[in-house]
Amino acid sequence: MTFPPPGAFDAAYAARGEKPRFFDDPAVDQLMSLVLALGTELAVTRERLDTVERLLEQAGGLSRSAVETYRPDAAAKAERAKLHQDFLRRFLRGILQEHERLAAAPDAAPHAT
Amino acid sequence: MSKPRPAGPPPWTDVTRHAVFPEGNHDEAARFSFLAQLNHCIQTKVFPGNRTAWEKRVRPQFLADKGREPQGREEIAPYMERDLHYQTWSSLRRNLMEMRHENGRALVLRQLDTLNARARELNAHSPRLELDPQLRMPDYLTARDIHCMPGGYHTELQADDISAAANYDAGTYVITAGLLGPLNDGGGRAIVAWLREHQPKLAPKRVLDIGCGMGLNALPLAQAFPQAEVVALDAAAPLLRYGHARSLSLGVQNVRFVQQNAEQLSFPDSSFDLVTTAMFWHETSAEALPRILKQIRRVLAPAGLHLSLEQPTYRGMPAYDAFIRDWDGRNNNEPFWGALHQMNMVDEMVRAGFNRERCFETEFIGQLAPELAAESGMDQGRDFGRGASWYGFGSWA
Repeated sequence: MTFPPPGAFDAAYAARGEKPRFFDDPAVDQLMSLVLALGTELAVTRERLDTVERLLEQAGGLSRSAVETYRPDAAAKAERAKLHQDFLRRFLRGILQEHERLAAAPDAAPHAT
Repeated sequence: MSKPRPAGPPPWTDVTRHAVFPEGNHDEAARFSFLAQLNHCIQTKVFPGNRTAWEKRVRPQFLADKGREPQGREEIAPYMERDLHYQTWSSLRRNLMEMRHENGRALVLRQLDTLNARARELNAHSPRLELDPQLRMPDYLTARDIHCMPGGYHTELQADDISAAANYDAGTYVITAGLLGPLNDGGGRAIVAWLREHQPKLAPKRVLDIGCGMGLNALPLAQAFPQAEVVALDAAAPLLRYGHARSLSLGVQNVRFVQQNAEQLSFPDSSFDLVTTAMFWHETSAEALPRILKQIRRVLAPAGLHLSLEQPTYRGMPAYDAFIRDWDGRNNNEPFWGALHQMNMVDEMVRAGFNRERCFETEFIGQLAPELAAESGMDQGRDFGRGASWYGFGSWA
């Protein structure tokens, strides 16, 4: 029997062997891994939501066509717009902050890494 | 009105289960289904762009720099590796391999005790599972983790462990997008189809499948020749335990799972009428290959047939095609891949003692489900060895 190496019980433990780099900047390789994992988890969450909607509909608690044809009233419109705007502020934080710095001090250098 | 055809691979929940196949919860299954779709998208929509990038910008740059065509895949590599499309495709593919293994390992690890207990029960006292705890794994299987599977084929997390095999089996569908069929046995079925077409009178009684892994391809052989005894041979115990339990679960009785290093077979001379290998040679080494071929020569009975199914040979292939097929050798922990596909296997078989006139190269045609064949959309009608057809070679005793 081969004794398992340390970390072998960790699902994300790396395969032994040189890890290839594809881009000039290794940060880009890391970013690709990050974004692909993020996209995968989004897809998984979307599929789970789909499952939940179908089960709810089968149980009579939800109509999917009601989801599709839902129209927000005035209050819901305002709340949902704010949801998107809050999300965008957090999502685009780096870019928005850069723009703010530029506007406040025209000769300032970009934020150092 | 006809039913809409699903684009791409079926969901992971359509893969055939058996007694030791791990279960996936909702999200684990969804992740595998998504990764298979991602793989399908990469193969059909991103991969062909490599050839476009080559033709439209990389090859013209090479010609401008060198004033001649490239003389081999090694000359193309530094040029293609600077191309953004190739970089992006490579990154997608490598990340896909890593995500597939992470998901498979996560779901296997959480049910490790249950799976191993079930395999132990199925395998208990079976004369058809012959393990050798003293067997030393060859270096070419332990030096690095083949095709990015952490721990490779041999690592055991506890006694009687099958986790390496369970992960491997669960995730294979992601990479093959269902093209090997719901039992992942497309290679074995292609070998059977070849025998039916080319050697319909062959009725082997003793069959040896070398590098059987989990016995995926040995089972179609056993079912095609129910009068035969099939010996499924591999060096890795986790794969053999899993394979044996799987075969019992699928109702196939005429396969023995045996742990040996193919470089030193214990069988007497002339023990087998048919010796097969499928996707095996590229995971050996330059030193092991001639030794294994000599063993095949030795154990093959008079009038016996050796048949090997492999990824395509680079010989006679345009340099660009060889380059792009070499990706796994360079980026997916398949160290012998490139060297193997350069070798002249007829010459190697002759060196091992086979008569040149009785050696041949051939092609195995995959038995695809029609809807999957249409959807696979492979680059120039042939994929890179994972779908419609495979390279083959063989020799008569």
